[in-house]
Amino acid sequence: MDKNHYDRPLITRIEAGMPGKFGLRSELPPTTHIDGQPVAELIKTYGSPLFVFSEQTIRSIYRKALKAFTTRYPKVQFAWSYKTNYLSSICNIFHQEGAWAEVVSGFEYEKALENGVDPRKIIFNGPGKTHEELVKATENGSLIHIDHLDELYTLIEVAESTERKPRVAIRINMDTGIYPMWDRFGFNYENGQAWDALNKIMYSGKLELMGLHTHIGTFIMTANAYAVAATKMVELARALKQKFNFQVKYIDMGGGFASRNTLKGSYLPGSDTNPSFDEYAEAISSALINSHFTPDDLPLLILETGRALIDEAGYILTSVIANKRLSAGRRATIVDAGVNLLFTSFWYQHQVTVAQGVSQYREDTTLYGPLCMNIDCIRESINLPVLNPGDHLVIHHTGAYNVTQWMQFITFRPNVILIDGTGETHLIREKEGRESVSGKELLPGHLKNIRE
Amino acid sequence: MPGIIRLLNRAYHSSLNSYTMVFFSKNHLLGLLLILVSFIDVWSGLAGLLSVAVANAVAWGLGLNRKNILSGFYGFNPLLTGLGLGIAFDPTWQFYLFLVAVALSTLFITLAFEGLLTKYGLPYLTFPFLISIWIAVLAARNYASLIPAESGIYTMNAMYERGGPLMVRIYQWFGEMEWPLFIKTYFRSLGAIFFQSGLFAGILVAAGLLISSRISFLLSILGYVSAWLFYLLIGASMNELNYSFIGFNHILTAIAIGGFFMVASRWSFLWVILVTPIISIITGAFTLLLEPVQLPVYSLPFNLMVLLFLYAMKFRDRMLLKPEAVVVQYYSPEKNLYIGSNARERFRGKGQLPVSLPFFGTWKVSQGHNGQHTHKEEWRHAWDFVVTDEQDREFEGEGLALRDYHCFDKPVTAPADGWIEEVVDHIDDNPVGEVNIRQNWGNTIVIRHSEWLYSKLSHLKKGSVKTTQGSFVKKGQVLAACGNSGRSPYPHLHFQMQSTPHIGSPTLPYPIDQYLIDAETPVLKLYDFPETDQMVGNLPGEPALSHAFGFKPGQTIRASEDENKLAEETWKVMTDMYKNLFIEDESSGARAYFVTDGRLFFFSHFEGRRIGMLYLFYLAAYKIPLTYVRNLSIRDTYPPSSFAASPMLILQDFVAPFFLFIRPVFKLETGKREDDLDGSTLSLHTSCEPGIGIWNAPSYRFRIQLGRNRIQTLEINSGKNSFTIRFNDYA
Ligand SMILES: Cc1ncc(COP(=O)(O)O)c(C=O)c1O
Repeated sequence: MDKNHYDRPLITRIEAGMPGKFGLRSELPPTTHIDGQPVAELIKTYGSPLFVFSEQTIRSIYRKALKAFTTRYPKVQFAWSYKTNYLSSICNIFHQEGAWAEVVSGFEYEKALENGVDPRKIIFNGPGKTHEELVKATENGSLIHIDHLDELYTLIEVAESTERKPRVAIRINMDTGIYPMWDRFGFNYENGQAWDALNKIMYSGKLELMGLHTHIGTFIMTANAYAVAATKMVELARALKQKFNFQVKYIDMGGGFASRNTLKGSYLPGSDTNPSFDEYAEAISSALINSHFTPDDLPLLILETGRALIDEAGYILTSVIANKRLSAGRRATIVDAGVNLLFTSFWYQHQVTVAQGVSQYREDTTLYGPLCMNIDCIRESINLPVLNPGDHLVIHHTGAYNVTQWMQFITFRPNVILIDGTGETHLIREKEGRESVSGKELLPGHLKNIRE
Repeated sequence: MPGIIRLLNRAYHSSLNSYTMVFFSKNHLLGLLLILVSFIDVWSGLAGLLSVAVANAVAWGLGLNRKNILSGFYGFNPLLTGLGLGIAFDPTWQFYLFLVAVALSTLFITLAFEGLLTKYGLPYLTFPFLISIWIAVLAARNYASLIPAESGIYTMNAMYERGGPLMVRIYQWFGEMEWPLFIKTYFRSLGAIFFQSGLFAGILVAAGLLISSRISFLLSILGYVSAWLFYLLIGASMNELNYSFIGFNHILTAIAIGGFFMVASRWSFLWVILVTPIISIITGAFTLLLEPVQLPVYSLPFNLMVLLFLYAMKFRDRMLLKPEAVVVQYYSPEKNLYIGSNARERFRGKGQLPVSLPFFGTWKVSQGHNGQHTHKEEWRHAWDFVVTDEQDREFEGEGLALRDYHCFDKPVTAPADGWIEEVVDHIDDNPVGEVNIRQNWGNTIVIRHSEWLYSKLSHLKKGSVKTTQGSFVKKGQVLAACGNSGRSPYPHLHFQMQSTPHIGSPTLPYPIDQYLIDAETPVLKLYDFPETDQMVGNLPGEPALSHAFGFKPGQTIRASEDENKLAEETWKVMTDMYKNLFIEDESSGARAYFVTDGRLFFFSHFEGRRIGMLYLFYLAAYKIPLTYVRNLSIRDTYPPSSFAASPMLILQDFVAPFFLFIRPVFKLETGKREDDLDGSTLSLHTSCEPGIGIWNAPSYRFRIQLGRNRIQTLEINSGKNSFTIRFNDYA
């Protein structure tokens, strides 16, 4: 039998459910299990902190997103955005579901190939592709999305030496009423750069134009921005049809759908305010369908959705190291997962729940990570039950960007596990050791010895 | 020179088919036997042949339909008239003058009957012969120069004495044989069709019949036996059967109804028996009626009976398969049965306007035809569709708001091209759980696809309609959004086909041309009806397949075998007068007939030499859906006549109307596809298992490799042999 949980004494002011600056004080139930697996057991087996991914959640969110589009538009293709999470196990779940790959670097490109993705279904984005990478992508028949004129010229050069014509699209940036406008990537729509670039491609005859691409930003909170973007893409497609009698094969609307997370500074929880897949799908497909395209020649719609597909499937399990009271009297709890693992805590107010029986008392707490750095704060203010060292917490919706942007700072990255559809756990990335951090270091002879 | 050969070839075909057409056949062996039979009486045979030649030559000269001439359609009535007159009159030069005139008039009467009867979709049978010979026989009484032959048709018994000198010996031997009367009469009845009364003639005809068609032979016996039994039971004069050569009416009617105009089955056989008394009644009545003018009834009972029967069958509304009319005529009861019986299955959608599901993605049929809620009686052929999630729920959250429903506000598309006939768009969507019984159908669109085919989409969301009355819409075009107006407690889409343009019109059972049932192993359905609880969706065509199998008339394909084990063949895609498409091998003349509607390709049958690459291609690509479904597996059966004759096949022919034990199986499995924006590469694995009863054909495994929008190779493995056929120069 478990020992009764010790509740330390606590004095709180009575607040009758008023929304404060940091939103409603919803009292969330403890998360004792993930996909049927007890959190305490997982930590016991795999250590703390621990990244956990739910395969079932990934698949079901993917299918839901796909359905939102396929019930509105006849030809839809997702391309998994590698940068969001390129653990091979995660990528392959998406690939098994039918997603292509969207990569932005030579490393990601190689990774997608290694995962077994058909090279003709890899979309190569990004401003920094090297000459060799372009040659390889061309020869493999991958879809190269051109970011700038210099890349366009390089590709025309590449085309002279390769057997295949490079298969290309251009990335287009535009004003969709969203701030900030991501105009540093691709060619601008409004000032005519995009149309110029398309003309250059058509006249060069060296490149095979496949489609049009845009990515209007990330965590876009209004679906209407996509309707505006899609309409502008359709305009370019129509201009191509008119001038060159050329039919684009696809329109790639990029990523950017908001996940269920709550952005910092929001009043209401993201799960209530963020547009659903249905709303994004409605905006994009209506814009495409209400265009000049006839039902038979609607282009393929590609989506590079990242965070919205994976955020909810990722958890970080963490343990309480200590409790403190700050100078102003505020309660602070230190846990063993910090911003080194939770890069996204810079943008999100991650939902955090306790993993064991709760006391009825709650206190406004600041959650700190274990790093010896001032910025290592997971939540500035969160209403949590009183906690003791060794208690476990679950940080929710951590699937996107964390396992790609995590920092190796003063310690090792922890184990990452996947719970499959049957509830079985699989270690999908092993905890790092000294070797992983210092293994590549080389020590010049004269520094080998530090004692006389 | 080739001109002469062509002429002879045409003359041969048109003449021979004029003989075989009497027995509804195009079998040349039968034709040669029939010519032989007709020449048992040399003068009669000569008169028949002359009459045919005159009619066909004049038909050709006049510019009548060549296909009809070559098929013997214009020749068989003059043939019979010629034979009849030949046996009735002495061969004087005046007689031949008379004969030519009668042949000509028979041709004209044939055309008159063709014009009259084809309007009703009915055959003219031997009516032209009847009219013509009656007129001729009556008229001849005025001509002193025409001398009735001793063996005139009234004294049929006299026929024994005549007969070609060649045959006399054998002929006599047959005459002296002690045959039971029952059997003798059967053969005599057969011979009488060609105005021969001898046993020998009947036996030759029977042999020809057996060679040309086992089913026809069986029917000839059935018709004869049931006539015999009827005469016996009713106490009719047996003489009618024995001596006045009327039995052939029963035999011809049996063949016509039992296997030629109707697909041979136990139903057609039953009808052969059921019409026997009617034939006899007609015979009895008209024999008496015609007696004062001394004219025999000839084949009048057969003509009347078949025509009445076929006409009556056209009035059927239901049970169209008992018996089933032959739609495509192959001039062989076996082919009509073998090709026809699975054609019903295979051709189900042929000529129909293809109708798709009216939405994007996969929806669930919440109520199908004859549904338990509202799809009853006149409105039973309708579907209700909803969208469900992975947990099979129709809504998210509590389902209290319309927005919670997955199908709500989803696009509704045009199921086929058409004109918008009617639009209602102003009715409020009901709150969840409530219904509007006053405006039953709620917001609705009716589309006219043809003069008799309309579709109706109902319970649409208020204000969602994106089209207007009178507009032309394309298949797949978004028309409105799914809603909850009218008699709809929860959002859903009501879809029905109907034959009249009104909201509230009764429904029509009309299938969806092609759809996929989303299940563990997806199932492709062709021309079928989605059923309650199925998850269904349209499926996109695979351009690689539709291009590769989109054979167009005029196209040429060169097929070559890698190791030259098979001679190179040049195939031409062609179309005949009836717009049937086929691929013909130039050197052998073999033809593989195919049908395609852009969504499905299949071969209907094969004619000609059953060796060579075209035949293998026919077996390999027997049925190909022009769409790609992973792990799809489909089966079909070949008509047994796809394989060379074998003893078991002959046995099968005999029992075919009752059951098929030879079912050569075709199977197709989709292989791996590498799809790509610039066109897919894929392979299809097919096989042909001739199965029990066909020993002389191996089982084959095939692999059809497609790429760059065409067939690249066909790999064939028959156990001991394997070949790779390459498809060259086809674009
Ligand atoms: C080109 C491109 N596509 C897709 C994505 C994925 O976006 P998100 O995770 O916001 O869906 C990104 C992210 O920045 C991107 O740059």
